[in-house]
Amino acid sequence: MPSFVHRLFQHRLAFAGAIVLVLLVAAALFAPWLAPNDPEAVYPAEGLRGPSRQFPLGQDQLGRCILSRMIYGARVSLAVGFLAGVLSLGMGIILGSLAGYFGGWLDMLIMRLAEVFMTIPQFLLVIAAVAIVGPSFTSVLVIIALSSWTGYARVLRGEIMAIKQKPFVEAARSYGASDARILLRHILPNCWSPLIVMVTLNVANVILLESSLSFLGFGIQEPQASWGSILSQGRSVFQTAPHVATFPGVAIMLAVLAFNLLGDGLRDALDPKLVEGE
Amino acid sequence: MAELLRVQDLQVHFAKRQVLRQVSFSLAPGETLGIVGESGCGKSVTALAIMGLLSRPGRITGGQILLHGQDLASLTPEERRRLRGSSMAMIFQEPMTCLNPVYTVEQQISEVLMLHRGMNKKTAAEAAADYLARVGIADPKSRLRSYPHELSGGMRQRVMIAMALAGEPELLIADEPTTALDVTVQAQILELLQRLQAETGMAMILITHDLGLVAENADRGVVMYAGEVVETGTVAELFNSPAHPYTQGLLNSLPRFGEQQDMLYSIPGTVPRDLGSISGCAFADRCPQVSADCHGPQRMKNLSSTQAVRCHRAQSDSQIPQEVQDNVSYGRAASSNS
Repeated sequence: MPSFVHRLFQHRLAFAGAIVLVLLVAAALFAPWLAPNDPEAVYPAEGLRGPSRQFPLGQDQLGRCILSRMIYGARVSLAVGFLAGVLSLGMGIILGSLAGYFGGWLDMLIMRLAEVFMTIPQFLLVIAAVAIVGPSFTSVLVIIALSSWTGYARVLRGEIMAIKQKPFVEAARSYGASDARILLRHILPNCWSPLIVMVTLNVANVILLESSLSFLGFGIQEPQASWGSILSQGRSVFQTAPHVATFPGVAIMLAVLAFNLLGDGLRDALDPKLVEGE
Repeated sequence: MAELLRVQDLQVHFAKRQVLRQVSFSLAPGETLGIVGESGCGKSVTALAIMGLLSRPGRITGGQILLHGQDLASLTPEERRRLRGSSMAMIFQEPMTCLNPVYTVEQQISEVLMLHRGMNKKTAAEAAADYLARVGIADPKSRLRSYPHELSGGMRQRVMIAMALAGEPELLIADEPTTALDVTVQAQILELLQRLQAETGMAMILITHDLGLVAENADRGVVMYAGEVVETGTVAELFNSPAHPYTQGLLNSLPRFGEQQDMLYSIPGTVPRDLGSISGCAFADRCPQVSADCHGPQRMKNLSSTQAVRCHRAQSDSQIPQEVQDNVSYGRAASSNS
């Protein structure tokens, strides 16, 4: 494990990504102390003013502090990203393990279900579902998780089917290990590396998805702040007050980029072929 | 002596294809039985059937496996699982891949101790060191912390043996335990198995394609061909008076030591794949002494109280050809040349 961390940190871009993420997480965690103003306080007379001493990134149409709204928005984006990521990972692990380990009709059933999900464009599916149950933090979270487990399940199923054939699994069986023990203790620990990489890329995707939803008004609702909704407000006034759309746009880009860089670095650091090549 | 294991008329099918036909043999406590035959003749399938490890599409379609007189088919899968590791253990051909790459040696030996001997993590870790020492690994305390990729093939096979031993089994099935190892290590591992057998009194089934190993390590031998037993007998009987033409062919194809040979003898042809279509002797196509009667059903014929053969031509006072008798002393040479 230490050698893996070492390899990860030698990957400069991944290291940069990790630092950006640490900063974002810190901003989200300490939002009440970091935000210079109340994110929901309005100053109608000062609408669309550019950066100033009191409002470092300027003000939106209602005169609210964009920096403060972005700091609180980081909470939404990261929380949805992590929670939906973990939830879909959990679903993917359970369904993928069952399909890969037991095979047969169970595999058939789970994989056909996954294919149904994959044939419908994810964004369309999420919008339709949000339109039915109504937009809120919880519904966005659950719906995104429900629609993104398929990738995990398919990758894990393939890994398990390959590892199931390894002699050490048969050896474990020969000394009396139960199915549950073989799956949980002998097979799954050999499958983590592709999943860890997938999680980072998936979280980036979820953040983008949540921003898109909020941009369209299907996501987090006013007055609660979200990067997507600030961006959306800035769209109509982009020519006169470009700072409103620019800063949340940059934040979304940085967060997604950071997760992707980290994912790339993790993939290189965890790739057994590269390890042996050293 | 009471029987430990009896395999009676065992039949196994893989989907529609039959791979074992009426396989029968028995094993006494502490005894070593060698099962010999070419690749694909059903040795490993027999072992997996005894362990209850046949996986789809393979299944037992007839016969019985009795452990201490109890039919294993009457047990629930859970009872069957408990027997694995504690009553019967198995070591495999591929020591390089039989250990889980993500766990240390200590964790893997401890797992067996915790599963079958009710030990907790701490006592299991202490006991694991003893087992490593017993299988002849130097500096067991530090080796416990090794991962499998840090060990050589011979060391890994020793760890596998330690794991098998940890459940204190009455029966150890060794499926080609030395095939993947180099010659000097091979001899050490077999010596170790013999020593451990003497210490613990466990019975062993040694599966191999190498007659030399059977000669040196087993009390009795079972010769298998195309999914059936063609000859059984004590090692002395099999080597001194082989009655089945296949056993004779196997003995003749051992290299002779100190004798100039232009070419090694080999049995022409290959093992038939579709056993369903064979009604008579499966070896008839390759047999140098084939006759019309060979195509009828063949039964096991007792030649002595310990030797039996599936060949209608065999006589109970079968002649012992001198050249075959000579081979016995070359057992060691043959095992090191494989």
